[in-house]
Amino acid sequence: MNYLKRALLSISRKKTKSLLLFAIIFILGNVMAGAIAIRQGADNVEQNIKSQLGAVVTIDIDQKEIEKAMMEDPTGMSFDWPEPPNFELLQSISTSAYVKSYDFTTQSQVGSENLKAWVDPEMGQYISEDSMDKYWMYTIKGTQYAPVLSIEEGKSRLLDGRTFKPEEIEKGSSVVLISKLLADVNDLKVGDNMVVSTYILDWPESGGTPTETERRDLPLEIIGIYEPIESSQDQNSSGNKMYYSDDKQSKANTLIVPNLIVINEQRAQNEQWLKDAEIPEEEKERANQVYYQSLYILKSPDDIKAFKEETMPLLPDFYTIITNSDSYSIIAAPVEQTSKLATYVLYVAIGASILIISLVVLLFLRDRKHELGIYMSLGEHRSKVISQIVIEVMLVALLAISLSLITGNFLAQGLSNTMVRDQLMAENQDPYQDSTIYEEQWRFNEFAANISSQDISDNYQIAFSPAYISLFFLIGLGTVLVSTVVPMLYIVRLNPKKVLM
Amino acid sequence: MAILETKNITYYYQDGDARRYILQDTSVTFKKGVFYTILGQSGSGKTTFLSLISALDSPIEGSILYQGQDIKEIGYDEYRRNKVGIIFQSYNLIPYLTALENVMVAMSITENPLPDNPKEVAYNLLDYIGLAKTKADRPVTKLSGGEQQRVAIARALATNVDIILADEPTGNVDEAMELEIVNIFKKLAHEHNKCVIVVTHSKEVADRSDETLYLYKGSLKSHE
Ligand SMILES: Nc1ncnc2c1ncn2[C@@H]1O[C@H](COP(=O)(O)OP(=O)(O)O)[C@@H](O)[C@H]1O
Ligand SMILES: [Mg+2]
Repeated sequence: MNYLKRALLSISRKKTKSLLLFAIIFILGNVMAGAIAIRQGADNVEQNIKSQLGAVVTIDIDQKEIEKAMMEDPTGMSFDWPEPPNFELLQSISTSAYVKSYDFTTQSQVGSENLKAWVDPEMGQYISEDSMDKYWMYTIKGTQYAPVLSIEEGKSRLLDGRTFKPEEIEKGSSVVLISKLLADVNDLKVGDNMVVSTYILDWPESGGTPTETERRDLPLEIIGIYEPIESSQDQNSSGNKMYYSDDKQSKANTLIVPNLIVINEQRAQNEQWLKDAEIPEEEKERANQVYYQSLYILKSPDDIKAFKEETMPLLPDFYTIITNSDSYSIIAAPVEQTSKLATYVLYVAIGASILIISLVVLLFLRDRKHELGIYMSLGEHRSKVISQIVIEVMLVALLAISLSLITGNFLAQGLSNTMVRDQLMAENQDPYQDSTIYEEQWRFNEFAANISSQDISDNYQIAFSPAYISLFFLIGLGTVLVSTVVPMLYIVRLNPKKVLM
Repeated sequence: MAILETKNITYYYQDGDARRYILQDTSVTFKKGVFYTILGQSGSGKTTFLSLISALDSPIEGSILYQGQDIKEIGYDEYRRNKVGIIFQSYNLIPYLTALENVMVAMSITENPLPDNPKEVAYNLLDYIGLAKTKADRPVTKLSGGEQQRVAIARALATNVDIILADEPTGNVDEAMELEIVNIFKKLAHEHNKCVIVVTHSKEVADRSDETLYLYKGSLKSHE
């Protein structure tokens, strides 16, 4: 009849009390289990999606910082528009140990006298060769990375020909990679030559159509033909169909060339309008500064934090690091909010549990003070008396927690369906999401995350993962164990003479 | 040779600023094989004295020796575990256990050597004290007062201790039962060589004991 056996007999013979304690822990356990399950669901969806996305980062203006600076200085008198990071800085960042590959791209719009643009049949014939569209129908995209990042990273497929040689990038050779769609429309093959043009236009003061003052022809030799690989995400995001169709068209009409080619054209355009503009020399110099869109592919999403810490101090003021998964927190807002709420609920539930269970156990012990006194009068160690009570409580708790592990999970599933999924679907219509997607697309091109609420909803699931099970047992049983501390003090302070004699 | 000895013990309850003395500089000795009674009026301090020699409380001055050793040195817990059996006035049994289990609780706590078959020993002990096997397996809450008293006595005996202490064991029983219980104590002292100390306010019980000590106004003496 040692303390262990007594604990078992006490549980089994005092059924009402055991059941009452069981019910209390079970109910509180459900709240904790539900909250933990919801948090884990949110953590999992974030991890899943972020690991699917990889880690692509860029350096860009920190909109929030700019807004803040503007607020502080509404006249804008002393506010200089921040200088973008220069080529040397971008280059030196690329040597970071976290960077797997990188590119700095430039862009310019060109037209053509004889090239035919690819038009998405789904969009209708809105590009017409006669209209002004012809002046900027095509994008020349300059690259610094000879193997071409999108091809190397599997976002595009090289169908024919080759990518750049490093010396072509360095010298700015007149070579080009074009899309299969554009090649087909114009019947172009690898080895063919094509001509695009930068048009210098004169805009009438009164508005209306501009007149062409100069045309700079840019002959290019086709060295490769590529085809974008559409991800399943692009296809099933039906909510943004218009947008993706537009994107498809502009992608098809993008020509990939060495950076220097683009920079040359940008200079030529700048020169033309700077000639007439009445601005100081130094301003003109700034206008000629090349703006590079940088893209760094990190070795792992886990490196993002370390990379940021390493790189942020090097950046010019008002510039920051943006990752392709940054939009996650906007799109996944309902998940994050629910997770936050679940965290609060969890804390409150733990606090309430400690309070309630402590109180109940204490009340039960007061009822049993004679029994406890008897053990002591028989010379039992207080530690064993305490052990008996802790074992009794923990055994009941183990049963209650185990059961609430299952029911709490179902509860979380039910709640998630209404709280998370429905909200995600409602927010799918949110225009703010669209603007986020646009911005991201512009920054990351084929590396844009394109996360939709649907993706998050699909990836969100409450599961009986080992992490959930172990965390809940840890928190649940830990809470109950903490709840036995105050009752233990009662035992320590119990005076057997007072209760027995 | 004395098994138990109090040496100049003083005990009082603090009542506000006043001290209410129960014992003052009291020295007594107890031997094995003797059935002692401590006779005193209600409120004279019998229970308090018992709480001191059972190590549930400690004297404010003086010491209590077991076989010449201060029980403080032995350790109060160990002293209660291995040296004394206490029978409380209000039985103090564990309500959710059977009579047998109550006896076995004490057996599981003591470190004194016990036979290998504790269950049988406990049954026999209860039978010896006058509780049949059928009643031994009943929860103690379903036993009469007298029967519960027997369980309490059996529990005190089960640990094979030298000293049995009892607080008014005949307070709540009829005369026939009183006689029976007194006989049990006599037997324990005379046949089993225990030191039995029973506090009581009953002159009849005191008359049947081997030696009576009178507790009166803070002193404990062998004559009135
Ligand atoms: N904890 C206590 N505090 C103060 N006085 C007490 C306490 N316990 C008992 N007393 C008093 O001490 C006296 C002796 O009590 P007790 O030993 O119980 O006497 P008895 O058992 O002989 O009736 C009584 O007058 C009682 O009121
Ligand atoms: Mg008394």
